[in-house]
Amino acid sequence: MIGVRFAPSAAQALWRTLLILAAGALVSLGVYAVNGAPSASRVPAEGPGALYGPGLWPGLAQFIGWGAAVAAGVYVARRWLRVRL
Amino acid sequence: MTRPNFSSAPPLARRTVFALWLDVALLALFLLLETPQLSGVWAHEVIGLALVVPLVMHLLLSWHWIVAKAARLGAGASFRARFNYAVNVTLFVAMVIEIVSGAVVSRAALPALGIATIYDGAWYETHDAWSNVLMVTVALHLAMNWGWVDAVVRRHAFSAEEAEVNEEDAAEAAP
Repeated sequence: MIGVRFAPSAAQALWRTLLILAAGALVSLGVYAVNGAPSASRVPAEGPGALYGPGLWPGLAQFIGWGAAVAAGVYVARRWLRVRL
Repeated sequence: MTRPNFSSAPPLARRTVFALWLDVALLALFLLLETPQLSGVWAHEVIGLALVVPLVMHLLLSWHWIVAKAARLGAGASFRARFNYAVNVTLFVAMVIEIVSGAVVSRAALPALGIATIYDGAWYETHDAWSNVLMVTVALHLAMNWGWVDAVVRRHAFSAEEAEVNEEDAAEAAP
């Protein structure tokens, strides 16, 4: 369809995908071991509040802010920390 | 620093161009995920869950690197190689934690599918805290691979420009 092979064969692509999902499941088990099952007794009274309150301008500001933060992180890492391959 | 001349370089493989666009899409989706005020809670959750597909594709395209580097992480590996591998492992762990904890405290997407969720404070705090880890590791991942991104973008842009010129030449030469 897109003309790109993700693995030498479909079976290998499936096997590798299963390995990735298994690694993800392992990480999930670790978080579950730390947090435990979700409980109604731990529902915060105030809820998610303004964090998810949609708004175009605050949203754009948030988007630009995060984009700038990532760009700054890349710049600092490459320029001063000499992070590169 | 001298820039390489890509004019004589062979055209990029389709796989490389696909990997570049996949990475661009992943970065854009990541930024959108980190800005729920822009996307709203519904899109935030749907994008978060759907992100599994391009992520798995990204890992499949990088499979050879993942396996080869893991095999060479022993005594002979450089600090840079180990650091890079640690960044990538942390990025994978952070991404999984974000997706899973986001699904656990889902308030729109999963309930709409009939899956009951609980807005658990501890899981939400995990989701919130790891989004910061994710931001740092994404920036480090991008910094580590900037050389590849830079080279591929330049070669891709050049080949697109060249194709355009060739098309114009062909159009002019056509009777």
